[in-house]
Amino acid sequence: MARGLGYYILVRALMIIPTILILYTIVFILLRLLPGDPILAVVGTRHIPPEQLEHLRRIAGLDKPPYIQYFEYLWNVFHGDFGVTLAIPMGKPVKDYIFTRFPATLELTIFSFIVSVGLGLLTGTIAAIKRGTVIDTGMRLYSIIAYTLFIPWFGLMLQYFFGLILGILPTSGRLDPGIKVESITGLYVLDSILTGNSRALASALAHLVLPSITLGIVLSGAYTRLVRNNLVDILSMDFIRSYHARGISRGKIVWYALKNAFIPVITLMGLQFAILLGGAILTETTFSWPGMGTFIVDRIDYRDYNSIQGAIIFFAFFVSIISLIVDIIYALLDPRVKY
Amino acid sequence: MIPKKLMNMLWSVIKTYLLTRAPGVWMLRVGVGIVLFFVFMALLAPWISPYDPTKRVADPFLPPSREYPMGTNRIGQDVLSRIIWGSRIVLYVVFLATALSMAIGIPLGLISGYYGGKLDRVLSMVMDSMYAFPALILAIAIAAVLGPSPSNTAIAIAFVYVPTYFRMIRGQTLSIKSSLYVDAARALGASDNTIMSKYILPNLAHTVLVVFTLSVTDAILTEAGLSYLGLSVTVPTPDWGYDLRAGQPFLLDGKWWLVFFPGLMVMLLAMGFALIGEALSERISLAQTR
Repeated sequence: MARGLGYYILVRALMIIPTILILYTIVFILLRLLPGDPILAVVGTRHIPPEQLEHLRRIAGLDKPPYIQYFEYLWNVFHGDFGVTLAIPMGKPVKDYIFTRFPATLELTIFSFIVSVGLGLLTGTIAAIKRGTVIDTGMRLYSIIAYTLFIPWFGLMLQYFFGLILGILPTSGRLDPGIKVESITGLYVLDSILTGNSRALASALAHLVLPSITLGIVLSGAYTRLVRNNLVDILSMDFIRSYHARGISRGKIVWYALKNAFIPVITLMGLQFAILLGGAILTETTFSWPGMGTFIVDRIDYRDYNSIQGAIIFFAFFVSIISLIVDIIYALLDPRVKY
Repeated sequence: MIPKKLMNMLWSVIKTYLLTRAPGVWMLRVGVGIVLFFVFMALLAPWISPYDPTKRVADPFLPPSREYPMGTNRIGQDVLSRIIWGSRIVLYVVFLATALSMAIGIPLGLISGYYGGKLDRVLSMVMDSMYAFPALILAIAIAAVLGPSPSNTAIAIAFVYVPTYFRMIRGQTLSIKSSLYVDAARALGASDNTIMSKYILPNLAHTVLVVFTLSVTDAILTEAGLSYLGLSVTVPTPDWGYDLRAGQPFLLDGKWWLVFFPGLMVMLLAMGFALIGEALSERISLAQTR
């Protein structure tokens, strides 16, 4: 088993490579070959001397033929170099931005993920237990409505209610002004725990509440459906009936059934993670959250394609690694997976 | 002749789907009602819109009143009029996008699933990679390169939803390909083209319908997202996502109507399609298990 699993992980890890290459190629083709010159886009209508244009082209790596650019950029990416910014501040490595901004996005996605899975399991379980009742229909409607909420709208409505009317929760940023936290991992919650800074911890958590609830609720709808349908199937199986016959309490039976219903949920988690990252861009913009999403949006305003390309290729790596991790967890939990 | 045939088809669709007592039909009815509401809103915009959506008609920041049911915005434009006209943009983008991704995704999926082989493996790999990547992020990249315009937004959205159609059609083609009646057709000497267009494609209609409603739901939210990020329309075009973003800085001054109404419309329209998709997928899966 142990050797088989190791082999599986190795094969699965190697399968990442074509995925990343395909995504890289798509992004490269899109950003380089679609109409529009990235350099002129940054420069805009300003008149600048041709030698300066040449210089810009050189630092962006655009002075060489496309096929050389393709391999050169790929080579750089595998060394952790995602290019440099072309707009203000010019020539700063995109890597530096990723380094400071990505932890913010990661922190937001982790908390939203917890909210969405937690809510999904809760609502799905309630719907399955109360199957066929008004409550079941209500949960079904919940899943549809949650799915169709427009993230910026929902986030802003929460800001309006909890930030303005009740005035109990912060509506933007990651920390209150004046509070600092020593950056170790970049995840402020973790950092403030590690440094024993309770004020920063409280502030970081308070700032996480609204963004992660916004994103979490929107993504919870898909889990509600899946958990409900699986649980309904499992609750009608023979082994569950035998538990009833043996007089095991209802709560315990639901718990056993939930454990069995969890495997498809893990598959969904892998798929949802990509949607989570997409949603994070909108959530970050809504809550002025200084993550990768706001970085990309800022760079769009400057029409700084070099930075956008770097950020998106970084996302491609990240998504591939997450799907690898999900597959490994899946293989660990479900003995039926063939290696 | 053809219009009559079409009318009959339409009537039979209405009869089988809307005028039954099947469980869950209320979802379908509500969904169809919402979608029709917005379609008519878009079609009748010039007649039902109370003011010109791009002109200053009153003082800025008037709260909702009888004269301006959804208030006025920063420039003094009527929010309701902008919402009515905005429905045109979102419907245009979403239908153009969906038509494009169907036009590319369905034939590719059909060919890939039917012929198999190397082409199938390469296409599947490319599509799976795209499918695994956050659709919104990819759409942002494309829309950013193409520049802000509704048609470009549609292209960006179309691009990211091709894999959805491809995967679904390919999977279904694979399973239908090996059924007895396809073998029979082949034995009778039907060409590959005939088998694909006359024997396989019609059987995919139900699947396409469900995937269509669900991908339209996603496309609406993606369109709103892109235009919220400033990647779809430019001033002074009325658009829900864009107007919401424009109202955002004033929300915490208590001017809720600038954000509330446009966002609500996005959600309602998306919900209309989601309800239809939900009801249809349930009905079709019931029909298949029976």
